Amino acid sequence: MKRFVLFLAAAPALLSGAALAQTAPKGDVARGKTVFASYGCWQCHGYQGQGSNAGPKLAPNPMPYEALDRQMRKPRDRMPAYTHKTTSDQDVADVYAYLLSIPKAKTVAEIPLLAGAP
Amino acid sequence: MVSETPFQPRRRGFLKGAALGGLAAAAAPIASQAQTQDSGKRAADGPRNPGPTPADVEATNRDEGLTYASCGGDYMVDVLRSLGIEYFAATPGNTFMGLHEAVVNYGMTTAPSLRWLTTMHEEASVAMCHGYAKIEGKPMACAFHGAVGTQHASMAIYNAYVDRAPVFMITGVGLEADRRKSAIDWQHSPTDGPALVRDFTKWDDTPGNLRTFGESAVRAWKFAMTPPYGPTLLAVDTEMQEDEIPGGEARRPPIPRLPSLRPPSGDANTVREVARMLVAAEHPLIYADRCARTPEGMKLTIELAEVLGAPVVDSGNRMNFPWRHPLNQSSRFGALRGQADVLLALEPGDPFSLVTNKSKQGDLRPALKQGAKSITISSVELYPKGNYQDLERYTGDVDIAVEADAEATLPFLVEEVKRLMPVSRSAYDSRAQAHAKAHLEDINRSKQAAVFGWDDSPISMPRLAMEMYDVMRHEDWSLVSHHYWQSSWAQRLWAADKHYQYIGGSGGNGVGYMTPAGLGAALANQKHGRLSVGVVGDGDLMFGPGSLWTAAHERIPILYIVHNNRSYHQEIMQLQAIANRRQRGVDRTGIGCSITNPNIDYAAVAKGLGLFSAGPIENPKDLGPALRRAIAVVKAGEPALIDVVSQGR
Repeated sequence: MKRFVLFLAAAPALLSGAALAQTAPKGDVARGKTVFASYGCWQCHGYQGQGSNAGPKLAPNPMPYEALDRQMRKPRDRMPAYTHKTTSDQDVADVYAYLLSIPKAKTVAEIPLLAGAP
Repeated sequence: MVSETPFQPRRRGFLKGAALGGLAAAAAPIASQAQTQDSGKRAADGPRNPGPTPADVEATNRDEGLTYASCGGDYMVDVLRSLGIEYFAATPGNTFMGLHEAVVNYGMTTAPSLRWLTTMHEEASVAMCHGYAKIEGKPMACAFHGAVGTQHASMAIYNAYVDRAPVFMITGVGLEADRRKSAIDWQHSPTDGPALVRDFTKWDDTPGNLRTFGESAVRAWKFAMTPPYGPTLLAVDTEMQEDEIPGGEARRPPIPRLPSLRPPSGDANTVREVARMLVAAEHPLIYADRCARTPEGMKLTIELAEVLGAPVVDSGNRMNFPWRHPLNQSSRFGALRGQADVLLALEPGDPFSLVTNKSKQGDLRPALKQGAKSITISSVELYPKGNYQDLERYTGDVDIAVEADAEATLPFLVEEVKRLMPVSRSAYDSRAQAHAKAHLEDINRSKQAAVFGWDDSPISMPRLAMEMYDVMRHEDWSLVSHHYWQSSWAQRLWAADKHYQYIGGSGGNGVGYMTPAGLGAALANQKHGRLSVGVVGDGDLMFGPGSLWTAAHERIPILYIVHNNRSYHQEIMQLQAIANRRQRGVDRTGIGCSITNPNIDYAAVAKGLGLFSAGPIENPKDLGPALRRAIAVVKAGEPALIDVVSQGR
């Protein structure tokens, strides 16, 4: 049993991030990267939003902005709430811009160590 | 028949007559003096005492000038060797110097060898035993000082207790108060030393003489090795270790015989009933926790799963089931549990959470579907103790609790299942094929998930796992750390099919376990020529970096990889959650959790303690070459350490 999983933040059923990204407020990628680190998002989700056993993958192809905003403000499961008192709308927009900026990963075939895994 | 050796007084034989004579002569005036005082009170201007007490009046004083040819310590060494104990880990302490001397001058110089291993903390001594036992399947010994040493050792004892690991422990104690020489002797001689850890030791004793030391030592080994395994402790009198064997070598007590141990197995009727339920089930599910005590346990679990075509979820607390076996469905527990009509849990540590779902709001609901049956086979409840809550929450949703050792029960269960299997296996085979397909899909999903952040710095966990595996996969390797803290990427991406290839975690989640426990496991692996590799958290390492020196000093080959996320990472996540719940932001949650400013140079620490080291490795491209250099060192018989600046999990 996974006894230490704190932030089992089940990502909502996702539409294509790209499709809904246009509804997101304009965000600053560089600032979003800083916020992502300073707000501790990386602790569970990894610096690249790749996810871990403490939090799900966020990028590339992030969830729609509205879903991210909802999850941060009123999270499902055990993710901590980032309310307006501590996290501005601009912070969320910047984080989202950062997540959108994370490039597509290599494929398994392009990574010999993984392609050759048993 | 050998007569009982009296404990008091333990005078050397040739002094006895003279000393007793002196005692009789000198004691009289003291008694007379005492009787002359009213109500036993000293007059204000009266003498404080009648004068000096001569040495020969102190009935059991030491004679430091004495030499002798036999000693209690040597007998104790022989008892330990008779139990197959090969190693004795300790940080020295003067309450067990008699045994210490016997180990180094007798145990290490005569066959079979009992080798002393120097540790730098009593917690490390116990944790080494803990890791060793999980590889070798038997205890090694450790000793610690009275009082303070036991206090140091306590957390590691708790870990071993919760992890059901056999550990053979000795603590010294000066039972004869009149032979305590200094304040330190008094401070380190509690009247009931084992009481401090009794809540989480399986058994303890304070034997009163050498003969009963022998009996208690054999009993301690027997209890440690009877499921549920656990740590046992003997408090051994300092003077009994140091003194000549009362009566000399001719009176050396015999070493009691250890019987062949047979752990308790489930009764025939119950096993038959469980077998019937499993064979009849449409969706059986096997949950394996600490069931594979030995390689045989893993073999039997495989056999049971294959006969039934049943999926197995491995808790990760032991190497219960091969990671690449088609029926290994460890990542699909939630889905399979919801579907299961019979759940068989083997040595589960927490039956409650197996059969119960708890919502964020605290609502409970059965995790199994209506009508499903749950069965546990577990030795844990054969030896319950109070106070510490390692049994976790009680559940009323277990239908049959077989109070027996799972590994010992499995041969009968497998046989009965085979007997009950219908002639046509088609339903079972097609079930197995479906699970095999799901297993392959799961591997592919894991590989797909591993690509994200692959080239990132700090280094991602799947990248670390696969760089490690790349240099290990062609060796006879053993992972001597828990994969959970690296998001279980080892289990998800590696192939492991031998019992010694993985040992699980600490049990009690006391920080500071991995460095010494991994070293104990590496010690056990050393004689088999295996490559031991362990991933240690930075916070965990700093609880006991002295174990690195022990690795170098004792030349125990092990590769430590520091999972350096520069924090007490579990705690920082929890603190963030609390701070956000209070809407105070997470800006200050690094205080008390971050291990930065300065960043610790673990490679420099390791180098200073005598290890080959490299790091901090921040670029993932540098990791493979560093690992190859370190593996070469380890294969040459020395320890090494690589500091990898890593993602949190």
